[in-house]
Amino acid sequence: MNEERIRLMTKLAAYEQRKGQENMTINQYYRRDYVSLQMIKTFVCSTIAFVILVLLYVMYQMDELTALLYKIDYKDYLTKLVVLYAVFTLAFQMIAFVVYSQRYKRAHREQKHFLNRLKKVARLSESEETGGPL
Amino acid sequence: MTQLLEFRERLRSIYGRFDIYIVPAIRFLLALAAFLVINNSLGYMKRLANPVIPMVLALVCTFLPIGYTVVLAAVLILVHLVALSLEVALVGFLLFLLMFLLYFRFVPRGSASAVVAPLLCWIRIPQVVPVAIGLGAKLHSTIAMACGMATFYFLKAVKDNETLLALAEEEKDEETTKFSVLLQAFLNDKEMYLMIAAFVLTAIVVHLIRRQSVDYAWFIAIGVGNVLNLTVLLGGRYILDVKCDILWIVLGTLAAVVVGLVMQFFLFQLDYPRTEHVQFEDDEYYYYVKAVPKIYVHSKEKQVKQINRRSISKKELAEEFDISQDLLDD
Repeated sequence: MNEERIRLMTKLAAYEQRKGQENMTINQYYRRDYVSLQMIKTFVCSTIAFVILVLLYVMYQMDELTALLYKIDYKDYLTKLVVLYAVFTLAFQMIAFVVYSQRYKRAHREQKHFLNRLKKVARLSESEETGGPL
Repeated sequence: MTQLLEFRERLRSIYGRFDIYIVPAIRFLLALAAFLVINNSLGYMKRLANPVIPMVLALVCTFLPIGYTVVLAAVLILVHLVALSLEVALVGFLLFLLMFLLYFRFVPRGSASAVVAPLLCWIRIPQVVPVAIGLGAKLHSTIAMACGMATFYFLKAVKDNETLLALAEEEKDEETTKFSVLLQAFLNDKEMYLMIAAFVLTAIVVHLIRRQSVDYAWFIAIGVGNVLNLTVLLGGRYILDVKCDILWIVLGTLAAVVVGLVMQFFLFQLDYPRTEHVQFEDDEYYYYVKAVPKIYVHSKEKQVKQINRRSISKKELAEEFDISQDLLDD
């Protein structure tokens, strides 16, 4: 039994079990495609979240809602809402860009490391079979 | 000290040997505690009062990542809220959805603090959470902690107004809606804002200090973090006129110090007097390196040496020396 090969294979198996599947999925994409896709998903999520926040605000104000409806300047109110929405989604787009770019980089690095180890294991097995030097 | 270090090594070796059982057991206990606390403090759905249900749910969580415990706890809370009032359950659902969309979608792992924070709030020592996060977790766990604490204060608002919230629409005062009663109680709770702000600040400060390369950084981080936490909580209590018990603030801080020291003992034991400073250079950089050796003690392996002689019969002795048994007779 080759101890080094077994040690490497254990590390490979542990990696595959923990992060292998996730990283493999990420590495199917080009960086730009992956980050763009995640940013689109984040855009949808942040839009839903903004709607929920508005809904909660309406619920919060529900007691004075009738009075508010008579009082407010709709144009001004709508402009504020659009600006808030733009700031909110933009902030989340930036967060998504940073988070998913980092995640892609990490997945790429780990996958590369994994493949290098895999090659080393293959080399070790080959040399064991032929009985030659490593 | 040596005995303590040996004890630590023994615990580490036990953890190394049995982690396959210890980790699921911790996950089970955490989930069970969360589900029992939810059932105990809400308890609106009488069918869930049977303790077998939390046990079964916790058993399911044992074999799943911690994120599933968070999801199941949220579902359990919503089921109880439906039994109280549909409006309350709707607000609860929207809040949980908001947390999922804005945080847990980004970071599916590391949501343990979302379960631990409300549990410690329930036993009134939540100060432990920011110190533990600052010392041993990634900084984004503070957001999970804030989500957990917001959930705790949301449930507190439900509990405080349960009589009004349980009333049917026709029985209650027309002037107020359940939505506004609940959301105003929840969002106007200054204690929640104070706690979350103090804890986020403490976690960041502890995290930043413990990463410094100064000697005894972890001790300094624990000390400064807890003093800061205590100051912000006491100052905030006075300025915002929040009614939280000073005794529990102090007890919580003491618990945080103890937990911090225990974490330091297990995770970061360095031998500062043996610090070495070395300098070297390559083509591109000049390196100033500070190397601090870890304190490590081999756990003593007890060897049992049998010094009493096994009594041996004359027959066995004769057989061993291949002589007649008669020669051994007196």
